Amino acid sequence: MKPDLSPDAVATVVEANAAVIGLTVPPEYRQGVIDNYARMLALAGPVMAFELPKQTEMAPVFTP
Amino acid sequence: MTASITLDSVAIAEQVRSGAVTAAAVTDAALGEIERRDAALNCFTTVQADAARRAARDIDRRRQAGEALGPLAGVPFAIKNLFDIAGVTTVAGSKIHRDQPPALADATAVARLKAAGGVLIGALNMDEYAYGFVTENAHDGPTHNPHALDHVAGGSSGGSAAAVAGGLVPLTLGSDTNGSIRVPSAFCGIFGLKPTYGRLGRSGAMLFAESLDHIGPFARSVRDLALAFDLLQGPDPADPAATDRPPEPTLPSLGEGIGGLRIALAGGYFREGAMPEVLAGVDAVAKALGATAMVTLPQVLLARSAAFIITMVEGASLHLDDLKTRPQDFDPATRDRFLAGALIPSQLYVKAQRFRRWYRDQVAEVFNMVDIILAPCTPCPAPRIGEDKMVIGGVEMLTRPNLGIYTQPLSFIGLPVVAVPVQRPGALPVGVQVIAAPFQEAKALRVAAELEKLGVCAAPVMS
Repeated sequence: MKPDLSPDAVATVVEANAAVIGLTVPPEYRQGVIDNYARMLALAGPVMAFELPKQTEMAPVFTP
Repeated sequence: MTASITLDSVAIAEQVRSGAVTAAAVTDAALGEIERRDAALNCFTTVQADAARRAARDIDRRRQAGEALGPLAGVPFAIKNLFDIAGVTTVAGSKIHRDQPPALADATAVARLKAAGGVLIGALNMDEYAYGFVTENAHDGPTHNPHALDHVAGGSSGGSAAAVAGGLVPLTLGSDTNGSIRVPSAFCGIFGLKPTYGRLGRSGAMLFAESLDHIGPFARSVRDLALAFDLLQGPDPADPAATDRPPEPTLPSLGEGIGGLRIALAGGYFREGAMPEVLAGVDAVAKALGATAMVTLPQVLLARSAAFIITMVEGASLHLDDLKTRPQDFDPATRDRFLAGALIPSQLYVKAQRFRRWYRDQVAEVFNMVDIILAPCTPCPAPRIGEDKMVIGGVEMLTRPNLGIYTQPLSFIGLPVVAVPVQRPGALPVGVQVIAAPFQEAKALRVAAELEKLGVCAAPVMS
């Protein structure tokens, strides 16, 4: 992924992803959501870039 | 003998069992302190005076009838308002959940403390849905730090920590997803225990981020922490994360000292970005324990980031319906983060969870070399209420997102941690994390008990 999306690109992602799940972000909260999303992306970039062994799986706790 | 609410739970229960004081008198003492001080502290969102007095009278009646009383006989306790209380609506710091019907039964943890003779006094303030480190709740107001009323109590279990530090009750319960027991313990100068993930059953507690949520106790003495932890252990079939390991009581070994324990400081990440007084607290604890070795955990920053992402995704998932239909009813401090969390691509979440597995294995290697690791709880003492930014090492940063930088990478993999307080006369306290390998709470508690015995750590009532 590209961790350094432009502010406009972050806004586009926020709007598109909100549409996918049927979530309307009211205009008065829009900038706050974009700011938080950008903060998350900045943290996510290095996590996504970190190479893990392919056999490293999630560790689910659910046991049927 | 006059009932004193400033004693610890073990001492109060001993007095009640011996007949030196009545449970009714102790309960009245707690209610009196709440009446006298909570307008200033704002710890309690619900006080169940009548139910508490009834429970206390029942304990006194049973004692007079010669019945055996439990280890918490007559001990007033209170809980973060995300735990169910039968007949009370569980709000979890929210406005939205005030519309919900009352809980039908007590949460498992509440029921266990009651069964041991504890007297439930009420429910305590928190950050909305446990998403925060400051307990500046928009609906219920901020909880004030008993050490300095214009400073935060920490969060999200701020009411739980401040009620203990202020001497309103000796024992409370809270929850910790990223630091919500350890941060307020540090800011309020008391002891707190975040057990191993899955160790204590969470059923009847409203979750925040299910794969990271823990519950645990706050107290002013280590023996109270150990006692509460021991009482809270046991199966909880309704919680899919609850361990099926048999309970492992910690109280019997509490006084064994630190002989044989390999204790080290956390270096690298955990020595960076903290105010000098915080590191001085860690060093004072290490010196008292004779710990000089330093260990480095790998990729701690990524661990914190991954915990951040998982929290946003799971938290948003839990509240998605309300985010769609009534976002205006969320606390402004949580709303935008929840909304943003709902929009995170699945690949980020899965990678964060896969990284968690890797990181767990790496840290397990470190625990082959040491038994206990010491680290700061927070980068600073309690900020002022409303303080949005802070400066550490000449760098200005947002306060709220950075209070958990040292706690998040540890709860991320469910390690047990005792937060121990270092008092600083004339200044706000700081906290130190005493970290053990998974399911080794007994070792961390032994270290905390040793620090208490040495006088390095203490949690006096701030009145």
